[in-house]
Amino acid sequence: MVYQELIVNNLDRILDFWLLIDDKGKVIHCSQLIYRQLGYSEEEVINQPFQIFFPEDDPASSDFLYQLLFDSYAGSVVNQKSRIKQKNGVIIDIELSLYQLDNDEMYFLIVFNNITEVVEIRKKIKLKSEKLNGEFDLFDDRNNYESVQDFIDTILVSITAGQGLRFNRAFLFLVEEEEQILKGIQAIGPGSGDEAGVIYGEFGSAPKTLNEMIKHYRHMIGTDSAVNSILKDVQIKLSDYQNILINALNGQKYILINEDYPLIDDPSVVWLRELFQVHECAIIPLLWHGRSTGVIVVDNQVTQSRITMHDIKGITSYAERATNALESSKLLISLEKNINLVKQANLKIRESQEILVQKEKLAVMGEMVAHMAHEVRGPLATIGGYASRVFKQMDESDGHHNSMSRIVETVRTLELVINDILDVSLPEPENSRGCDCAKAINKVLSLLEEEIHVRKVSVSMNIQGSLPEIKIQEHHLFEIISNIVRNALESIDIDGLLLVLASHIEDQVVITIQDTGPGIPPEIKNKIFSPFFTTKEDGTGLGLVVVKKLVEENNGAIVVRTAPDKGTTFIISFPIEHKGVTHDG
Amino acid sequence: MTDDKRILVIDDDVHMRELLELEFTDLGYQVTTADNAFLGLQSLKDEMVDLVILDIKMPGMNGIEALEKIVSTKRELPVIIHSAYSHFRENYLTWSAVAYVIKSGNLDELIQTVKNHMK
Repeated sequence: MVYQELIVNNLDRILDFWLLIDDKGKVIHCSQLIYRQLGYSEEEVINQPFQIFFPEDDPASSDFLYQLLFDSYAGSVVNQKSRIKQKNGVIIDIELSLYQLDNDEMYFLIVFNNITEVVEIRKKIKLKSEKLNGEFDLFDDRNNYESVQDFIDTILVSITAGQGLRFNRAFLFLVEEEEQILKGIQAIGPGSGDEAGVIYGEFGSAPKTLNEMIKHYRHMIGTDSAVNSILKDVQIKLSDYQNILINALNGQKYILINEDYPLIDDPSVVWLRELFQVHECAIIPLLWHGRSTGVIVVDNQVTQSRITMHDIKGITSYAERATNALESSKLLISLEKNINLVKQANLKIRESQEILVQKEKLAVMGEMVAHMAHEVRGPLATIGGYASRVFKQMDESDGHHNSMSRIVETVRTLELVINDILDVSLPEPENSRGCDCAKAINKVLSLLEEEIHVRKVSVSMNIQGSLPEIKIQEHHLFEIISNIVRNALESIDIDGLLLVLASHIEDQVVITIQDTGPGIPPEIKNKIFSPFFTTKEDGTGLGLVVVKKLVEENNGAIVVRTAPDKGTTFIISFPIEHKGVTHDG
Repeated sequence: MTDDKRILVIDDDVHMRELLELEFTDLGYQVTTADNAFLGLQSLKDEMVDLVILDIKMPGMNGIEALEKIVSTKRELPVIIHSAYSHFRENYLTWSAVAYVIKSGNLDELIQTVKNHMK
């Protein structure tokens, strides 16, 4: 017991999560954090089997202890990966150690760490660093140039401004990792003494904040100013160790070039002094996390004042901060780019999910339609078969001859409609010629006679005489017109006007079907041709899809005009049948 | 000339069975009917049959199974699938039939197909 108390009193000081259990697996004590962070209460834990912490579906949970003991070496198991359950049901990943405490009685101490966050953070860091590495080279990317440009402007203006470091001119060179060169990026400073007068005069009366100065600077100097033309074409290979700039870059230490510089006659020093037309200048390397990212060259070419150690210290410490800002901004931009990429990827995933759902819907619908078609087609064949038997044996003078003919014809149309839904292409030689749209319109309206009457709809029909035939299978045209007319009737609901017009305009036959219904609300207007979109309780959402498909397949066009309370107008047009093929219409 | 030719119609739909019986009798054929595949196979053993018109969806044994049995015993016997399903036409299991005719109120296609395959 003393042993137990000793443990209990001290464990919380050194461990986060721990459980002390007896040899039956019952919890005797546990750490405060189990209550505080996992959400269990004391009654729920003490004297309960320790398995309550493990997910029920975990196969190890029932004989976990024995399993662990079996695995253990010399009575302990260390850092075994497992999972435990918080009170709220959330499962967390843990690393668990088990120790056997053998005293008068047998105890086990289970110690564990929540590794969920660690795991997650590790994953995130890995992912991010991979992406950052891949896209570090920002200067190649014109899209990002602008905001990096802001930093460069800020750095150079600060170096040269009267309120800043007071150098006359500053030249920025950056390392281009991909091409392995040091490249002149931008410069600031007067191109000549005269220009200096203008600029300093301007600055004298210029606003005093840095932002205002940068604005001012941009206003005054374009990037093609004289100083910029000096370094525009400067590109030095990183492998050119003889070069003084590369020397400063690799040495990671400033170089002050003046008559006291020991290598004053070195060709690259001569080159630099000639390039900048200057006796004295300082080269300051830009360092970022131990890596050289570029150099800044500063001088006082106009005022000819000496560069002091004080100036060097100032610019060095400034360069450090500037590099940090510059590199951080690069990283930020890159990060932003990555976030955008992730966003785009998410969007794509969502889109493809929608497509999948749509496909799934279509597949289920397809099966259902095939089954329905079978169930309808069988009895229809029987009706049609018997009807044509009777019809064939009937005398034309028979009073039912016309009715029988209608049954036979309608059954045939219905069979063709079913074939269309199932996309069965049966040979239809007799229908491949021109089609009379007046006939199709009349057929639709006569079939819907009953519904038109019940809904008290007045039909106004105006079909131009002797319309040319159009090139479409008759049952296709029938299907198109009947779908639109049925929609119109349903939208009118009761009491209204249905207008059907057909006319010959240029080389097209144009059919207009207009209703006095409530119109299509603007928010759904662009969805009406989408599969399975319907506003009807018992609609399939396929009617207008079939219409559009059939119109397009037959080289036609369809337009919808609608406005709330102004009704809906469908205008369909088809090219007329050219008389290349003769037939006895 | 068709008097001695016998057609076996296997279809569980009584109306279709009787319709085909009427039509093909009118055309001068002998017609035997069976309302399921088992009875149809039995008729094939008992009678001389020249052509089979076979439905697909039937209780017990479906037309595709029946087709397999017919083809395995009487390789020369022409079988015409006559179904309200269209998509089994693409199923290779129906390809040993000489023709696949989708049920329709217009029997012209079926009649023509029967004529073509009746030797």
